[in-house]
Amino acid sequence: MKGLSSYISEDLVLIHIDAEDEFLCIEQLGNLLYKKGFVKETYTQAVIDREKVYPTGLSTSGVGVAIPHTDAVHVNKPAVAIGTLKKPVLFHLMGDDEQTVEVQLLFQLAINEPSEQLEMLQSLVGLFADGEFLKCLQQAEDESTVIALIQAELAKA
Amino acid sequence: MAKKKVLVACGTGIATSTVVVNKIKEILTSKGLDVVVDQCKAAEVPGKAASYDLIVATTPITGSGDTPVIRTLSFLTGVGIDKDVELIMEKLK
Repeated sequence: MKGLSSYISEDLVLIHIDAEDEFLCIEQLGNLLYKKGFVKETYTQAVIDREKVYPTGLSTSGVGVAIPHTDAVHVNKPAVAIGTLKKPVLFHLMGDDEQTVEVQLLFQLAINEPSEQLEMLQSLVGLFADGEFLKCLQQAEDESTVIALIQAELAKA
Repeated sequence: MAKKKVLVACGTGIATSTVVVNKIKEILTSKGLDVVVDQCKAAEVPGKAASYDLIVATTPITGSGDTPVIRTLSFLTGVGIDKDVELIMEKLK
C-alpha cells in the first residue's frame, strides 16, 4: 500500500480553476486525468453522473473541499488530481440533497482498487482535519507549491 | 460477550466508506473495544441492517429497521469527531 504522495504530481494539479459550476470543475480535472492516461474516456461523465446522485462536498474547519470520484471500471491507473478554485463553487454536501458548501479545493480521485488505495484515502482525509493547512494550500500560486505543501504536511503526520 | 458489529454505509462503497471503516476500527480499538466493522453501499443496507448493532452512514439510508443509525461526516472532515465517537460507544454499550 502506498500513501497519497505516490498518487499526486505537478502534472495533475490545476491552479485557479475558473468554472461556473461543480460539473465544469470536474470536467477540467477529468480532462487532465484523461490526457495523462490515468482514466478512460468515460470517466469524466461517470464522475459527473455520480456527483449528481451522491455529492462529495465536505465542510471542514478550513476551506470547503470536494472529492469527486467514480467506479473502478473508468480508471486505468490510480491517481489524485488536485484543483484550486479561483472563486468558490457550490457543491452539494455529501449525503445531503439540500445543503451546499462553497468549495475551494478539489481532490478528484481515480481509484481502481479501494483496498489497495486505502492508505492514500486515509492520508487524504487526514489533510482535511487541518483547516489552516487547507487555507494555505488554497492560496498556493503554482503547481509545485501545491505538491510541496502537501508533501510537507504528509511528512509531519 | 459477542463482538459488536458496525456497518458503515456510503453512496457507492468506493472511497468514503473504506476510510470511515478504518478510522472507526482504529479509534474503537484504541478505546479497548473489540468490534467488527464492515462496509456496504447505501442500497445494500436493507438486506444487511438486521445483523448489525449499529449503522454509521455518510449518506441518507432507508430500510435500516430497528438498527440505530448515526449519520455523520466527521470521520472525513474531523469536525465533531469526538462527539460521534462518544455516541458510537454509547450505542454499542
